[in-house]
Amino acid sequence: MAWVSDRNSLVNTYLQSIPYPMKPDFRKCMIWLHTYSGLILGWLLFAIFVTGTLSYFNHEISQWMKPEHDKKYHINNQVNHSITQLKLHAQGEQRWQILLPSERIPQWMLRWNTGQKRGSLILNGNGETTQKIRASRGGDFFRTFHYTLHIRQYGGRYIAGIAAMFMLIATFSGIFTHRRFFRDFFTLRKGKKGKFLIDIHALLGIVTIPFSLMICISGLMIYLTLYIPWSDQHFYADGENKLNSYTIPTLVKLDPNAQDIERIVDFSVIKDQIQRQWPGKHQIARVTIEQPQKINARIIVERVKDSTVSRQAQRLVFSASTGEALDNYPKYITPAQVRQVLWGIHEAKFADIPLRWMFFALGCAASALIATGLIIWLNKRLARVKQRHIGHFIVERLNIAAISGLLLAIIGYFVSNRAFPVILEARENAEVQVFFISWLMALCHAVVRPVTKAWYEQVALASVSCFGLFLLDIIQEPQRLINAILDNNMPYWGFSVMLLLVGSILYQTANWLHHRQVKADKV
Amino acid sequence: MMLSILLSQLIATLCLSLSMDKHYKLAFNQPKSLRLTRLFTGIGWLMLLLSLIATMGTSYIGAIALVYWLGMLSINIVGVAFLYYVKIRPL
Repeated sequence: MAWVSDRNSLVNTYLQSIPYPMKPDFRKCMIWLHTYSGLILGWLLFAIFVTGTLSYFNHEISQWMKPEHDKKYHINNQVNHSITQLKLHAQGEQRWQILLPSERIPQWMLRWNTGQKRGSLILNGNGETTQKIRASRGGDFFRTFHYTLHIRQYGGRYIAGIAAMFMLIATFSGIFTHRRFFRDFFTLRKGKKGKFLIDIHALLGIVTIPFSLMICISGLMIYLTLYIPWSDQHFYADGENKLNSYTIPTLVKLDPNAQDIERIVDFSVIKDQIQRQWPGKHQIARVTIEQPQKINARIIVERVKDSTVSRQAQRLVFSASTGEALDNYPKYITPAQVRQVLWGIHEAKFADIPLRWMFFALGCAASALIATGLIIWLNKRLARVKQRHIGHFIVERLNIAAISGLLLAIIGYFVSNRAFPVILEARENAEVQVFFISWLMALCHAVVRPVTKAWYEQVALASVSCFGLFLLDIIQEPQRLINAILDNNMPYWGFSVMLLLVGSILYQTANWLHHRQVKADKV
Repeated sequence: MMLSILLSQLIATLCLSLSMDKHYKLAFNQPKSLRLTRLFTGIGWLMLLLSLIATMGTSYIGAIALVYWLGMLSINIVGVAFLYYVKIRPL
């Protein structure tokens, strides 16, 4: 038994050696877990939450970043017109796809493919193919960064998944850290240094519990087979692909050797049938035509997503040659349906404008929750120690780079969209590079400057950039904003208003930081 | 409709906060009676329930309506907390 006592003494020595050892008390354990699960990936979580929050308006951001898109479409039967265009540009392709413009996504797009070979075309308001649109990733950059961290090939989705798991742990353990959960429910204390920040953190934590749980759980469910691949690898020879073939409903495969006769019925015949099943205006989001050159061609019509929480919109299937309704997709099995619903809730494609703003506000609250948590961690420790060590320095600088640096990077990305020439080669990549270079520069700046000055300078620069971007947009083409106001193009003028609003908030924050810095200098 | 739901939720959260001794004292600077506690609690929960029923009665499908209700409630809670903060420290 000698080795047991040796081991116990070793464990005790280790527990005494670490600065904040886990105590046997449950609440203290939860505080420890909350503190460190939040800290370790806090900076990454902040970036994921901010970019995810922006993704609620990814189409609106894209509209602002690609102002050349037509907003008004003068063609009545857009599907028939698209089919005529596809016959001209995609003859011989196995699959045609028509993405119809909507108020949120004013892009009329035609796509086609034969196996892996793909092509696409964007039509303007008159259904012509002459539209020149600047190359930009628009809001989609934030959406993809949010779950791939721009390193999709190098495990970005795994890292984002691990971050979501940490957020879940931090959320659950956070619930137990509040001793007076209900008594302090509406409390924001003033006066005492740091208390206000703790109260804000606690209040936002409580308020965003349902949102954070929903976002983290649904986010993990989207890539569940990626994070827990063992069961499908164990049960199916081809792993995830085979599992998908069982769970994702598909239509009967079309005979590729069918007679070569291109006979696509007038879409108005199909439209009447659709109208009976999906009442209301603008119900069609996408039309797919499979094997358009064959006699057995099939048309699949997909509904807009605002009538379902699920990610999978309703679909109808028709024969392309006769226009008669064919057998629809089989129903999803329950687990797959649950996944689609969680996926749909995560992306919130169903949300109308007020609900979208609500999600945005909750996303901002969750981001503020993470940011305040990071700052509180540091403040608490700095108040306790007489001499700072390298850990404090790292956290302090990373806080600046992750919070104000990210804001600078985002605004830099928008500025590059207007500053770079429209015809620049690989323009969309250049914009992304500006985002990362700005972020890196913010980190370097945070490292070399004194803390209070670094915060102030970065926030002030972000504020100036917001106002500057607004002016730049007006100087470049004043007619754009005027037209947006006259045509009530809300995404465009809304973005401009948001620039002014965010610029003003950042200005106030910079002002407050400056006064605090002056006060500190006097002391 | 949504505005009236938002308003009823605001009244509900205000009443529920006033049913707590700490917040009542902060708002009115005097201790409250048991009768008032019951009154505020009752009105608070009733308004909350009414707002939920009203949200479910809108044209949104049930699941989306519930998301709306929870989202608005979150915003109201933050709003009420800031109301108390302004009371402590006028802007």
